[in-house]
Amino acid sequence: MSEDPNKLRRQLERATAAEDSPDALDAETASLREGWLALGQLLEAAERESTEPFEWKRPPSRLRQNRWKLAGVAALAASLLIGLTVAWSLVRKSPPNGSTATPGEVTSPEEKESLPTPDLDEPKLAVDEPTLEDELDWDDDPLDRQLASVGEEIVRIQQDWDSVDNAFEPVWHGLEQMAEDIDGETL
Amino acid sequence: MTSRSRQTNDNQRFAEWGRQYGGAVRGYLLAMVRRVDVAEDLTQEVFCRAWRARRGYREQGNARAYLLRIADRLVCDHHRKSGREVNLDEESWKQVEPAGRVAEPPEKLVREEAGEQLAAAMEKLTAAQRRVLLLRYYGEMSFAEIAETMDCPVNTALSHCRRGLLTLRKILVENAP
Repeated sequence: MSEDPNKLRRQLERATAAEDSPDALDAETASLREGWLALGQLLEAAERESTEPFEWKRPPSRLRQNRWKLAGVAALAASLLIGLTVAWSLVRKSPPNGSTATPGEVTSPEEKESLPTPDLDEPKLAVDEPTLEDELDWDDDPLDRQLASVGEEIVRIQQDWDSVDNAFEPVWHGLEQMAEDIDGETL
Repeated sequence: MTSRSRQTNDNQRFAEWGRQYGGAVRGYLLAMVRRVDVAEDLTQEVFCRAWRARRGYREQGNARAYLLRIADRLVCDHHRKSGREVNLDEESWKQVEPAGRVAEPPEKLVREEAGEQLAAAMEKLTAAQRRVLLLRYYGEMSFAEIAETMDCPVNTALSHCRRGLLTLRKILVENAP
């Protein structure tokens, strides 16, 4: 067994060299070389790289991955905004006590009994009873305008997504570089 | 150099690394973990790690050793996480031929036989001997680089290499049918 570390290193370098040495090897080095060549042959035979070449796939940026999450959150926020706007508008237009009966309408039987019997001969007062047209004539223009505006905004954002994406490309790229620099501890 | 052109250069460099050293990295990982699917995943991970650390990489003409060093670290992590030193059972080595991959029968037989022989040979080596020999073979590293990668003295790496080679010779040459 070789005791000198330098001698051992030289011996192993020759034994495990990629190409055969032109000089004759001593018995021990030749023996080690045999083991090395046998390993090489075995690894070569068992290797699969010849059947399926390695193809490197560039990892997607984490920022780019999160971009879709951000878009999802934005869409969700927009939906919530629309929902809240609609709900708020409906609440504002409904009666304050929450009753569905129209003013003056009697709903319970007791109330009906306590009411005086209408005198058919008594001349009726001229009261402007609400017509169907009046009932439908509530002012929903502001709500319509809000809904239309939000809807148009969503459509515009969806349609312009690509151009927005391109416009933000340098920003994404810069952020990506920063993230990589931080990961790579080069900052 | 602008950021975009730098990125283009990085892309080209990594594509070249993939072509030149992808096979060696995968071969090393396959020989160490004995499972094609794990080796494939780890190979991609090696390149991903190298990609993320590319700003810190200094071109010294030894990209192969650089990638193999990352691969070695990943293998150590993999074994640590999976709670075993090395997956040594012969059955899993026999399964390295992925299902669905069609190979010509003689070629397949040769591979299977080589795989079994390799499994038997690797089983006789210690983990350290395997690392030294495979880093030398696939990484073409010097013994000083191997020692640095394994975080051990050079003499220890040399000793592992010598013993490993003697064991391999005994198994593969002396006891060859």
